[in-house]
Amino acid sequence: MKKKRKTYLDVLESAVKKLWRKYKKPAIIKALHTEVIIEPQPFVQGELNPQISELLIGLYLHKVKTNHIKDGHVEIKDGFLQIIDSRGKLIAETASPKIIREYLS
Amino acid sequence: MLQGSITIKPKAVSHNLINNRQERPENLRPLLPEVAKLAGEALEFICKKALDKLVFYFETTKQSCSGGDLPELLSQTNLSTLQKGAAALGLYNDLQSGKRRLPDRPGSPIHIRESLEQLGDARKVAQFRRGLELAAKTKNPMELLKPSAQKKSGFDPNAVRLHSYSDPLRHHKTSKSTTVKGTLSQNERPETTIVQPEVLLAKCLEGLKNPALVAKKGIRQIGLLWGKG
Repeated sequence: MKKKRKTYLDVLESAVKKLWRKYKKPAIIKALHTEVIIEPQPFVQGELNPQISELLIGLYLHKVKTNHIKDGHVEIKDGFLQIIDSRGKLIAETASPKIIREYLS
Repeated sequence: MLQGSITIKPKAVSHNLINNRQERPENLRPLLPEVAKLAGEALEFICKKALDKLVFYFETTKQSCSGGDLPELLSQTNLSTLQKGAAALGLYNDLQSGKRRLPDRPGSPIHIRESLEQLGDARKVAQFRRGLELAAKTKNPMELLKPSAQKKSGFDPNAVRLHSYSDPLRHHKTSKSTTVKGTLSQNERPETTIVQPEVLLAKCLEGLKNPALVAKKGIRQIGLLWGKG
């Protein structure tokens, strides 16, 4: 049987799911012979799932924090934490109190 | 008898019991004059506040009228003010408890099989009196519509309870501004917005040879799938 070729989207989705499993504790429903792992769909209607978005922003800040603070690419404005690229364009913004608290600490 | 049938018949309720129920002492006790005066206002309040935007079709008389015009329709009958109020309150209670279903489409009529006289029966008059007394005591007409003001008749297992329609007042409130929990109004800013997901993904994805390429191509593919490319 011919093996179906994975598209970039398939690879991306599986990588995002792997990331979720690594950094978030997935909810598991345990039955007698079955286990159901609940995890979010990476994309909802062509957009990143908000749960995944928050995880990505948190991870991004964790990885690039020190450099970006120096360069002024992360700023808090009107209660929103904004991530800006080198050309000054907005990459992402969040008002999640949890992320802002973690970033400030 | 292998294939027999068993018939369970309900016990017939004696007439004495029915009569006793209709002639409860609380129904016989005259209302205080200042409370009795409020009955007309209470009827108006129920019709204008709770039943206003609903349309009723009375099958016995083949008449239809809106909730707001119900006092006019009731005035054409020989019912007492208390009975009129009881009929209106009974309609409201039936809608709230789910005994009567609200129409699927707003504006279409609710069919009432009972006559207006049947709607304002002794039990409902007693409920209306109780609500009226409580409303007069607390000086709050909303007490009329509260279930606590009425006799605790217990849960009716035949009542179909639909969450969205359980309270006619709430139904109208939500139908005015169609704000659904979980969605955002036009002026509201979402909590998290990602403008360039590929940049974030390229930085965060692990275990890939070229995460930037996978992120870029993957996002482009999903954009094409959803007609955003």
